[in-house]
Amino acid sequence: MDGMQLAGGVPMAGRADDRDGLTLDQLHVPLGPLLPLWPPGLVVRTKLQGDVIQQAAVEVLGIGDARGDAFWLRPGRPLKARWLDASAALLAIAGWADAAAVARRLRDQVLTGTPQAEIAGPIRRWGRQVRRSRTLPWLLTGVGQVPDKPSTPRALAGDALTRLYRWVDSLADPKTSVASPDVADGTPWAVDVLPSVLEGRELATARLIVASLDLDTDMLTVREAHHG
Amino acid sequence: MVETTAWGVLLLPVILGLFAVGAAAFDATLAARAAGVTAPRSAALAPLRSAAGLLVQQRRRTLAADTLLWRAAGMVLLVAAVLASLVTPLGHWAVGDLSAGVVWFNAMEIVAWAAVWLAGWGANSTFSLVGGYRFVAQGLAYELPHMFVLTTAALGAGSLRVADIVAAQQDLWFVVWMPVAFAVYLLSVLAMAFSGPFNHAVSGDVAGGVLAELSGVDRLVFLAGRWVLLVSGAAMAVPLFLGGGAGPLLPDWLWTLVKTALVLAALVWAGRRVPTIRMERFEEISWMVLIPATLLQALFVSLVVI
Repeated sequence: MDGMQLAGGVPMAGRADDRDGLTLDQLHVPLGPLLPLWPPGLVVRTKLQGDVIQQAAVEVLGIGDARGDAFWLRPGRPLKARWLDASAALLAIAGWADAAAVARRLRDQVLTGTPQAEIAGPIRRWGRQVRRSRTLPWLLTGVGQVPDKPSTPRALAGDALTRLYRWVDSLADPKTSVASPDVADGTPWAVDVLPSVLEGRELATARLIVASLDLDTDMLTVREAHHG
Repeated sequence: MVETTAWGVLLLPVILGLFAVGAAAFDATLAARAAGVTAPRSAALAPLRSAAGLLVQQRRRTLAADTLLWRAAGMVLLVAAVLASLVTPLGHWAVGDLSAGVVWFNAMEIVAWAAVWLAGWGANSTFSLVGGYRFVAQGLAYELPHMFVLTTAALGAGSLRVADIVAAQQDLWFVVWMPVAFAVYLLSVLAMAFSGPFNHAVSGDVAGGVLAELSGVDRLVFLAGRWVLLVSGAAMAVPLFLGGGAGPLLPDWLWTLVKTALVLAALVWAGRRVPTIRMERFEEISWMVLIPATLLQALFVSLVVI
């Protein structure tokens, strides 16, 4: 190390073989634990070569210290609001700021108890706009495709686009209104599969993949509180 | 006929600046409307407020930054964006009536390429650099179709002089018989000013990319350069495809301003309606669709001219 050139006191990037067997610079870039539109506490430690994530290690910080109080499990937190929240995050990261802003506004209206009759129309209009977009399928198809196994939670099957469409369609369903605890079952599973879904993908899709899995790190603390 | 004016040198930056502020205000208003803000007038002033904030903000530093290149990036972008409009006529006046005006415009806008890359490189930060190389990749996608459509307009007039291109549209605007070239031109203007949906170089998934570490005056100059570049691109659409200052009743300079404002507003509005197009997807559509389409358009125009 002594003879090595240091840029501002920081050692230069190391090298490793990439997927084609070429020796390339390898950069260690952590994503999280605090980013806008990112599950709080989630850390993905990536090894990047160029734009490709060669390796990803996932960790959730602060589970032990949490009080086991999940925002979306408190009374008066309708499932509709949670799906609008998840859609808003995914749309914002996909770069569709206006559709995301509408979703956030509707989410807040649901949370503050706007009557169903008043809000159903705007939600339907927003859903139609999202489903009508022809760019969105082109951008999200195949992004964050999860393995199709019996253990895969039904709510998370498919790719980012199928998950977004699932949220949008459930929002149009009048039967969806109250939170049920089983919605969160996806989070521990998603945290487990996340490294394998991220590895080999481009950095450009990493944030989309994470947002599309609707990770709720609060749910992990609830589990922790219950189990031990 | 286009006459060159010396005082235009002073007027040009003012007009571009007013258009840039107007475009940013329109953009902020649209964003506020989507978010359900009830005071649109206050939203329209948001860009000016944040500009004032940036003026007094202290610069952030990064470790081992290439300070000279990093700071230069914003200035280069702004100057290139203003210079690109040197050959754009306002009615029958232009600051410069170069015999290769179209090439000048193209050259200035390629200088902006370098500026964005420098801004990404200079900060010595991963996300800035990612933004920088995203823009270089974006350049590979939009630059060739962009040059082909500029060539197509020049072919239609048989000249690279912007005044001749305007004169050639006396009977029929180029937009009518070169619609593909016009559409691709507008797309490439959005891409070269890295505004939505081609804003992957500055997108939120990498903390603002090229903009991630830019702060204070440097950020203000860079953002101003970006808006002026969008204005310059929109303004050039008028002499290239929309008959320049031609129009009934109003004087020609006013027609130029009206058409520029309409093109600019359409670009800002359309840019907000589509999610960000990632590089690998843009590359695909550019090489598989845009380049063949613009080449066919150029072939069609050549055949008509012969």
